[in-house]
Amino acid sequence: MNRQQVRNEGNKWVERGIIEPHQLDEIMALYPKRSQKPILLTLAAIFIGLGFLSFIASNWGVIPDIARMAIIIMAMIGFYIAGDKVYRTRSETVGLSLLIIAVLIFGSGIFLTGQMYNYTSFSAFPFFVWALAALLVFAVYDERSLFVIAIVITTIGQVYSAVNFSEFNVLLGLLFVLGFSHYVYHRADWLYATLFSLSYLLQTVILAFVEYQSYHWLLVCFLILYLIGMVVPKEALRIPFTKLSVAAMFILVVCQVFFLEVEFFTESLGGELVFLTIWIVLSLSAVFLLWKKDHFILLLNLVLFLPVFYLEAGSMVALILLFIYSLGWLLRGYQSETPDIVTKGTVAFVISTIVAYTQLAWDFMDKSLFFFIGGILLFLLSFFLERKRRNLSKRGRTV
Amino acid sequence: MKRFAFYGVVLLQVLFLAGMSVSYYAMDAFGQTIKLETAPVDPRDIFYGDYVILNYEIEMIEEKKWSGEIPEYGEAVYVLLEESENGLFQVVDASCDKMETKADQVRLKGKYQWHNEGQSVHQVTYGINRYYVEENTGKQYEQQREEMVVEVVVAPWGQKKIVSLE
Repeated sequence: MNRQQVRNEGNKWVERGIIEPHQLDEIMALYPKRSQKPILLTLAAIFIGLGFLSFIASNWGVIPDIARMAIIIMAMIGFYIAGDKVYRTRSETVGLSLLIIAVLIFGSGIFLTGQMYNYTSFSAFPFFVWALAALLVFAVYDERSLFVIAIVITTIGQVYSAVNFSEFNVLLGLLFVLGFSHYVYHRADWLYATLFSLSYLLQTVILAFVEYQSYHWLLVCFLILYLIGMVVPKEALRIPFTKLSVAAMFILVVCQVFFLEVEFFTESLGGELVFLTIWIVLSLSAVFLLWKKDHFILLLNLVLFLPVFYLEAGSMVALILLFIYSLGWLLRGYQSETPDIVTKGTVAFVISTIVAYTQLAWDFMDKSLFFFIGGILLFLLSFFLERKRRNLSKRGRTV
Repeated sequence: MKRFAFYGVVLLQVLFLAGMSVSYYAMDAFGQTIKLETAPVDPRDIFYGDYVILNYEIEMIEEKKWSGEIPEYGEAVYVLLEESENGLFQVVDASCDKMETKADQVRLKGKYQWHNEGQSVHQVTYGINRYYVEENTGKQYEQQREEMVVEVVVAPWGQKKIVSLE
């Protein structure tokens, strides 16, 4: 029942003398006003910003340079001042939307000015300036939507740098590590932590592939995120950090199953000694932490972080790791009767099976037979696992 | 304090945009104009309107003109240019070190790309490969297959801009 329905029904009860007015007020207090989600307004802000961008861009030719500069700067100042005023006096949501438009105008302003003056560009530096401005605006207001905008700009800038200049932009990287991490840690907000983790994972992928052409360092990068997740005392950070790093590692192991067969990948590994030292130190600390907290079951996560690429049969071992991980969690789920863990184990197990099947059968079987048998296998598997899971949740309810 | 921070952040952004504009005009006053030879193509980029892609003669540097060690991809390099008889600037020296310029020379900073063994040249880029033109007017350059001459202004502080295309 929503608040309005409760109010309507409640009024009838008061009229009939079933409850007293003050009792209705107490009941109403149980149904707090739902805070209006700013999603629509944020979207509106983004659309207006984009509209501004494309309108100015398409009529750009007929406006003299100085006037263009004036339009950009005045529009930006206007939206900032208006946004700030509305934010403080009338509506925080509307104010934030205006501020977001102002941030977008600043970004488009940099690119339009660059285009207008045929500026030379070697790197994603414009994105760095833009991301820095967005982060500063966020720092002033400390609002979630501004954080989202700032971290998205940073991440897009890094992707832009990778695609256009084939380089990892160090300035954006530093801004991310020194600037964003501060707010992620101190605000301890799950949304910040999730976006931060995703951006971190993406940026490390860019760093590993674009800058060093060696994917094996990703293992260390993911392990660092996992370790940080284990160490931080805040729940809102721990869960996104550990879960997302393990998920990323799971995907990486799946990739290893396929790629470790190709010689190029095994031969391109470099910096063996440094890599091994760092990896051993990190892994030992992780194991030590688990031992101290008596969470040995989490060793199942660490299994994924083993450097299988050193082995000749790396592809096969990677496949085995996937099964240890998924079966381990599946059994753990049944043993502790936790539906969430069972679901996680099931999903991981199904993916592992598909990977194994694809890897082992693709080369030997006729393609239609491959899909046909694969489909039947999956069907049986899902039937079996689903029945187990239902039994479990039934039992969970009766206990 | 928070008010102050807000106005500070807005002011910095205004100054940055205005600074981009001012340094552009300052280049005309303090920079040196050089003419370079090219060959164009014309694609589109999502962030910009229409522009012409320019490749320059001076981006291909003969092996014998390179002094010192050969850098890795993406490293900063310095190239000395000198005006030849036809008024176009040509490469005289290239290196990873900042070389001293003689009276009639211009130094450009660029990024090393790769070593083209087939043509025995080192490929570098100066970041002036895009020339923006008004929407829908880039076509005329697309048809143009012969070499063009680009006027570039080089500021004493290293900034470069394309002034014209002919």
